[in-house]
Amino acid sequence: MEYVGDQTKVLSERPLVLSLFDGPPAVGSSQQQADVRSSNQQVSEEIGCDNCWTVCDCLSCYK
Amino acid sequence: MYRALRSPISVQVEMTQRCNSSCLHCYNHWRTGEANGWLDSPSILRIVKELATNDIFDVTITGGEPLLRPRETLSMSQLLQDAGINFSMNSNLRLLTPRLASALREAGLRTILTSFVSHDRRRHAQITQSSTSFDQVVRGIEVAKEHGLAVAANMVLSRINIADLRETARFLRTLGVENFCATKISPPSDLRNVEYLLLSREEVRQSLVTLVELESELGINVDILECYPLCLIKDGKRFPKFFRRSCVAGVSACTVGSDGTVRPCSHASQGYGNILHEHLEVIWRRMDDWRDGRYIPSMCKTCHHLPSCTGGCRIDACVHGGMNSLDPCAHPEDQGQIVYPERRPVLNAIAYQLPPFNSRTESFGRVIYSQKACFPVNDAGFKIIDGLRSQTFLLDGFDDKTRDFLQHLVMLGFASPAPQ
Repeated sequence: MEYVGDQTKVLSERPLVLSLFDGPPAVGSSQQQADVRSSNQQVSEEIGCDNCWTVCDCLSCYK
Repeated sequence: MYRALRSPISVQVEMTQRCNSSCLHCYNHWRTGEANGWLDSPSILRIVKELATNDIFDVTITGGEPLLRPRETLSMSQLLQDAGINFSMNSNLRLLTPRLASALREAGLRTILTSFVSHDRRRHAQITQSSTSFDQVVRGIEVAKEHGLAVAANMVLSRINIADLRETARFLRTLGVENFCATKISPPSDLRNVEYLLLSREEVRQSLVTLVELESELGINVDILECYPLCLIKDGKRFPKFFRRSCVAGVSACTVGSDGTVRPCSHASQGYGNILHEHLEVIWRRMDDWRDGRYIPSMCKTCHHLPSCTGGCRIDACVHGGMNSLDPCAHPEDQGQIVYPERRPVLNAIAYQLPPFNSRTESFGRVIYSQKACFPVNDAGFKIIDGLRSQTFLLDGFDDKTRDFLQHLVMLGFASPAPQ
């Protein structure tokens, strides 16, 4: 079977599937917002990509 | 909360407000008495031009009942086909004749979503408030299928017909319907007196269990047509396809009413402008309030499932006081029980291919649209996808970054194993 090989090494930007979701809405003070994002980040790290069905960059689990 | 697209991805167009059924559950509360509006030929031309100019990928022709205006519905279909826009139709099929079915197919129509509320003739008449609707819908399904039109059926579930779910699916299967949806009633946004029709959370969740059992028993595809909160569905391994629905109102979809008014979704009554007098992209930008998260309930704002869940239906939430109230089916205390679906397996050693797709530019890169998946990518991602059109490829053949990206395309269902 014919297939194409590596033709993209020259890309400088990392190819990404994006999400329209761009982060949770602001809640409370800027410190509280930072806490929410930090909490989401922690959850993301805890569950890891293997448990995350959503393919996106919303929780930074795409590394 | 959401990246702003330059225009919607999909648009519903209501050909008329009128309907020949008067279903007890109908969300179209503005379709009453004097509501006789429909889209005339100049309006249809203008709308299709706007949809084409804004690179809309997908249109649903709906109503009211679109076949009450057959000439206009045919005209809309033909114009959409000529513009290369993918489209389908929502219709109760009561007025579908062989001649009309043939003309619609000629105009490019391929799929129809119909409404079918019960296999029981008496209950069907009770809900649609029409003694002739059952026979007419059944005949309409048969005519559609005879003319090569695929028919999916949606059963709006309420207290009246919830016990009919299994038998209705079985009956539709005998008519050749292979795609069956059962969706809970949504309370109309004017909150008229429909409390007696509303289902409990337990009844809604049980309907999901029944749907999955029906899929296995009848060999059909089942689905729901609204977004249910993940803290209702909970088990993504058991109900993977129901996990994929989220609220897209004003994010990637909107509705054009039969007077040209543009609304964030078919269930919402608030208008943001008129497509007959303004450009769609201008009206679309005004819907920022649906993208900035202000209607997300406060309890959902800090839930780490929000990206996948989006907090349920904002119009359903109105029964709890307002658009930023909790969805009636939400139960945030259960968020710890949410389990995500299995990912599609990715195999490095087999050949994959991409489906035919369209794309359009956005500020962040591109949106890719195909029958299999629709998703945003950055420019580097698009360059890879574009280079793989009509190609067969092995994941092993790429560098790490590109392979990670292609693996995501497999998990999205966009890239699939090539035929041997």
